[in-house]
Amino acid sequence: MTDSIIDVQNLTKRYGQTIAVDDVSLRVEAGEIFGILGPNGAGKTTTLEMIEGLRQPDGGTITVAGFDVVRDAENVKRRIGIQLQSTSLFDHLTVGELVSLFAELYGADGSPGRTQDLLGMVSLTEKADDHAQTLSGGQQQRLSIALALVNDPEIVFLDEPTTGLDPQARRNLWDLIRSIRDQGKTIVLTTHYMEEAELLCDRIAVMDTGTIILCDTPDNLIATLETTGSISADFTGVQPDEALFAQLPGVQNASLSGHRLTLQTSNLNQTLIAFIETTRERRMEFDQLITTRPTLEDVFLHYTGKALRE
Amino acid sequence: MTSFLAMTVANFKMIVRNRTAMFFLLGFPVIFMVLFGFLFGEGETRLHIGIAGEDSSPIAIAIAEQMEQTDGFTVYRNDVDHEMSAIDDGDRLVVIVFSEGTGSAQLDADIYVNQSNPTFSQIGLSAVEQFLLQAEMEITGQPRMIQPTVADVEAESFGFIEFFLPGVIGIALMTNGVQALSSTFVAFREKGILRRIKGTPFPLWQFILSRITTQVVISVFQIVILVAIAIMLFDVQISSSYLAMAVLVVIGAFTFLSIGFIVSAFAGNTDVADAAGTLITLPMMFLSGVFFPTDDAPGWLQPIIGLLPLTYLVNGLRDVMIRGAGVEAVLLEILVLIGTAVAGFLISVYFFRWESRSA
Repeated sequence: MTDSIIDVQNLTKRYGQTIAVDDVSLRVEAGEIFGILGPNGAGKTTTLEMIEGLRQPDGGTITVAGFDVVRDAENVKRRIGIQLQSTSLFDHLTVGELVSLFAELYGADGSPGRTQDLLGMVSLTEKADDHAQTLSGGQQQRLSIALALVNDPEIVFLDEPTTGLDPQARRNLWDLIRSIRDQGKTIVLTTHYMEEAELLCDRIAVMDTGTIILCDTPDNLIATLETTGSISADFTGVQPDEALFAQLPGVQNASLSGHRLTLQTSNLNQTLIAFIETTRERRMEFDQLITTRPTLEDVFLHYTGKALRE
Repeated sequence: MTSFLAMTVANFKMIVRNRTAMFFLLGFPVIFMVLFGFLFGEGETRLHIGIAGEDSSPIAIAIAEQMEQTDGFTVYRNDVDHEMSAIDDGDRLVVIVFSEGTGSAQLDADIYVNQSNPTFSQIGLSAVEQFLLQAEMEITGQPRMIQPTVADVEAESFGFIEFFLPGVIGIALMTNGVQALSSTFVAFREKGILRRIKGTPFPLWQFILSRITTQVVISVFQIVILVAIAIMLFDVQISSSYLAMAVLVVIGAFTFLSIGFIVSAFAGNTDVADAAGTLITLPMMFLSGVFFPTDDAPGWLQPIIGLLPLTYLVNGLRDVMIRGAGVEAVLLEILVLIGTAVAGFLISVYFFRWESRSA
């Protein structure tokens, strides 16, 4: 029926009066990093946990690796690895013991050799004998990713894996996630970081208030807004007149901050040409001309009318 | 099966490496018993004995002098009025008043026993009686010249530690089951560990059974230590078969674990679980006859006492350990405990939650 490794159709979840997930359909292809992007409370985690079989959907169907998640949860659990948002682990066990224990719980190989391999994969070899509570935030996330790999899963689910990490740790984790993808596994992750979605994910579903607004590659998503952008410049001579520039073709908004003029436009090329002609005619001097292409942030803003919180 | 074994081994490591838990599991009951044992225990606390009227006979004087030299007795020799007011004030455990007997070679001894602490009094009385019998034999070479009359005593033949040990075992099983289990389990839920386990193919019932197995084994280990200390330090005589005792201990462990699971099912977080655990265990500790017999408790309290599982466990253990009863003699206790355990597990399965209620 389909080649997609995950096929979600018309998924719905209600909590009392609130509809947390509203008629969500999506497909994830084998071997890709699929991101669900949205602000907190958009329904990302609920969607993910229903796909993982941790929450019962109120409606819709979910097929993972060919198995129906609701009816055949056991088969699904054996084929997926999960990392939950903000799970702490058993106290008083070492990192190595935790990896070995979870491997055994999956009926997988919990031997010291295999444990070492997994810890090596997530760069925690030296931490094998430390207790999990003593690890840094980034190390704890890497440990929970190691736990998501103990059963050599086909699909790995990561719920906000980089939240709360410093930029360096975040970049290290991206490399780790890419290396897992390169082993032939499929990765589904949630994030509320634009940059992460744009740089890490092969495809993105943009989610807000329980629905998926768009689903495509980052480049295609941005291309839908190809013509939009902004132009800004520092005027060195006379003060520019905002009203004058606001009348240029394509300009949606013109603002002046000190000597710096910023134009938001729906047609970057047209506005840029007009801007240069206007300044030349009037002999207005400027430097630091900057044009920006749209980002996912702009895409999100454009389709939801609100900004993502970073 | 290997996953069950791995989980159980991990459970053991978690408990053994948790110093606070270990203190409450092992240190606390042991300290409890040793402390109470030395405070009230036979042979370890000096018995305050008053003697009066010994002047009536040289034998009585000899007995009084010998008693003064005996370890464990603190002897006061005064006139009858002084000693009787001393026992009224609680300063004497036993007062012996000698008087000339009816026959020429006979000696009467009225023995007054302080009833404010029945258990301790029993120890004192039996010690005094034992002493009188031996001393008399040594001094006179004749048996039973002294005619003792005991006032106000329904004497039972065991001492405080023998009375207390089954109580301490009950407390240990109760705290281990109710408090240790519920606070760990609620913490597992609060931290999302239960949800993480739900994401694995490892079944919930095995996860719970693994925890139960660990707790029961630890409880048995704990009780072996308690009994060993009681035997070594206080010379406690266990009159029963250890099998009957083990049956009660294991059933009791399950009963209190089931109550712990009920607490876990309803408590939203660890603070609530700890408070609920204390609220359940503390009254039981005092109402179930752990420290003193409940026969003298007011009538209106008796039905409540009769509802507490710890009452049945402690009574059963006492019958078995001290009075030498077999399993058949404590069937009622066993049935009540099993009934409580089954009801507890059913309730907690029905109300089981994977996650904290919030969010």
